[in-house]
Amino acid sequence: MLILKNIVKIYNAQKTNEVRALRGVDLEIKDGEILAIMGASGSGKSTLLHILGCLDRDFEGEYILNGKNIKQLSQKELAMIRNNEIGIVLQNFGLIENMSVADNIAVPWYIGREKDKELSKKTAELAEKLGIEDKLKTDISELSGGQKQRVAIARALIKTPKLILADEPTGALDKENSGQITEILAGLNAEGYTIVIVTHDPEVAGRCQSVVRISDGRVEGK
Amino acid sequence: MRRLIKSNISDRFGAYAGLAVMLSIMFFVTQYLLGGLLPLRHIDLAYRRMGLENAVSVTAEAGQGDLIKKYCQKTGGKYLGASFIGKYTADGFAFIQPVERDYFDNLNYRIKTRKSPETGYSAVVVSSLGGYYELGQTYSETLTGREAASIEFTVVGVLSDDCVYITPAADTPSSVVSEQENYIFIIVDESDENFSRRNLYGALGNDEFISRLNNFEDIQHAERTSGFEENRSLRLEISGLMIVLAITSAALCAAGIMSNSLLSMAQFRRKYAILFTLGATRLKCAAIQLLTDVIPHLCAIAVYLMLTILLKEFNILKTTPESAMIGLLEMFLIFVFSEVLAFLAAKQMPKISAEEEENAHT
Repeated sequence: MLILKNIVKIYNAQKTNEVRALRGVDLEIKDGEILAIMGASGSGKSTLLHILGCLDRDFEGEYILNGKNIKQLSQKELAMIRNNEIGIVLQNFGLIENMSVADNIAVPWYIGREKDKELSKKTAELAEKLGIEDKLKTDISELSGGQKQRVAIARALIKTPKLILADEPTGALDKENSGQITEILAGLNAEGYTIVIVTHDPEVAGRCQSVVRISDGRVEGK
Repeated sequence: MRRLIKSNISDRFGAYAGLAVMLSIMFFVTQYLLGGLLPLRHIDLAYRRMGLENAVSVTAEAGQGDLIKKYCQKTGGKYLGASFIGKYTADGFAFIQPVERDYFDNLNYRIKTRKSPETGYSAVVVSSLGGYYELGQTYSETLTGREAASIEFTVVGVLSDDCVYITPAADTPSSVVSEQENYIFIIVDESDENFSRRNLYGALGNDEFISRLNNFEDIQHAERTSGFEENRSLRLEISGLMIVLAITSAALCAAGIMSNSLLSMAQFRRKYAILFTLGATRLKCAAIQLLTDVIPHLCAIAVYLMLTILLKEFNILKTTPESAMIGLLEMFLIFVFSEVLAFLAAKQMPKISAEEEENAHT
C-alpha cells in the first residue's frame, strides 16, 4: 500500500545551515499494518511523517501510496489525498479553538466542501465510538487532554481513510489516558485501518506489529 | 468553508470591534478638524460669489485717479472711476456690497441668515475697518451717493476682519443691487483712517493688465492684498490642509486595516497549518484568510464612506471632492496592497512544522 524508496530530504540545500533530515529511507507498509516509528529528537521522524502524510513532496526518491507516485501529483491532488485518504492525528491534538467538538470532528468535511446529509450522524457515531458523545456541543477549550486526543482521532476517521498517521499521540497525556488512546488505535487497526505512529513511548511501540527506528536520517531496522 | 470563516471572524471579533472604534474615532476627529477648516473654505466661496474671484485690490497713494485712468488707457483696461458698484457708508467705514438672492444659501454652514422678505436680497459688508462691526450687533448706516439712504443691519456672521455678513433692512435701496463686473480694482488710500469715496477707483482689466499695472513705478509700492491673490492663496492653503487631512485619515484607516490583517495572519498561522494538514490547499487557506478580513474591512470602509456622505455638514466629498477622492484612492490602494500581502503570506503559512522541527533539534 505504501512504499518509500531511497527518500532523501535536505533542508536549505547547499547553504551554511543545510540539514540532511533523511538520508535514503526505504520503507514498505502493508495494508492493515500498525507500525511505530521511533527515534531521538531531530532524527528525521517528523520529516518522514510529513512525507508520508503528503505534506511535503519536495524530496528525492520515490513515494508510492496506493499505487500513486506522490511526486507526480499536483498540489491539489495531494490536498485531496490528505483530505480523503489519510487521517492525521497531530502532536498536541491540533484542534481548532473556539469551535465545538462536533465542528472540529467535521473540519475535513468543511475543507472538502462536500455536502453530506449523514455528516451529523457520522459525527455522532464516531463520538460515541470514542466515548465523547456527550461532548459534541462542548467547546474544545473545556476538554481534558484525553478527550482532546479522542476528538483528534475522531476527526482523523471522519472521511474513513485507509491510512492513519499519528504523531506522538500520547505525548501530552498521562499514563491512564495514554493507555486508553493506545487501545483505541489498536482497536482501529483491528478494524482494518493501516496505522503509523510516531512515538517515543516504548509501551505504545510495544502494541505495534512492527517498529522502525530512525537515527540520523536513516532507518536502522524494522 | 463558511464555518471556518465564521470561526475566524469569531476569533477576531474583538480586533474588528477595535478597528471599528478606531475608524469611528478617526472619522470624528477628521471631521472635527475639517469642520474647523470649512469656514475658510466659505471665505473662498464668498469671494467667488461676490464676483471678486478675479478681482484685485491695490492700495496706493491718494489722488491717483488720473494716473490710474491713464494707465487703464495705456494698457487696455477700462476705467470705472466713480461708477464702482456698491455703496460706502457715509462715514466711510464700510462698503456695502449687494449680493444675489441665493448668496447665503451657499454659505449656510454655521451662519444662519435671514433674507429680507421685501426685497428678497441680502447684503454683505465686504470692506470695513477690522473689528468695527461685532457679531450680533445691529448698526444703522447711511449710504453715500446719489441714491443715498439709510440701512439698518445686524451682523450675523464674521468671515474675517474686513468681511462680515449682515441681515438686510427691509428698506435696503434696490439701487444697491446690481450686476457685478469682473476684474474690479478697488483702489483705496490706505493712509486714510477711513475709506473715502474720493480715493476709490475702479477699473476693468484682465490678468495681464493687472500684472502690468502692478509694475508701474508710480504705484510700485502698491500692495495686492485682497481679491484674487488672497483668494487664491487661501484656496491653496485650504486645499493643502484638506489633502493633508484626507491623506492622514486614509493612511490611519489603511494602517488599521493592514495591522489587523497582519495580526490576523499571526493569530491564524497555526490554524492554517492544521487545515493544510487536513487537506486544504494553500490557496484555500489564503482564500479563507482573505474572506475573513475582507468582509469586515469592506464593512468598515462602507460605514466610513456612508458617514462621510450622510453627514451633510461635514460632507468633504461636496466641498473638496479632489482631496476626498485622493484620500479614498490612497485608502483603496493600501487596502488592496495589504490584502494581497495577507493573501500571499497566508499561502506560505502552512509551509512550517517539519523543517522547523528538524532545525530546532539540530
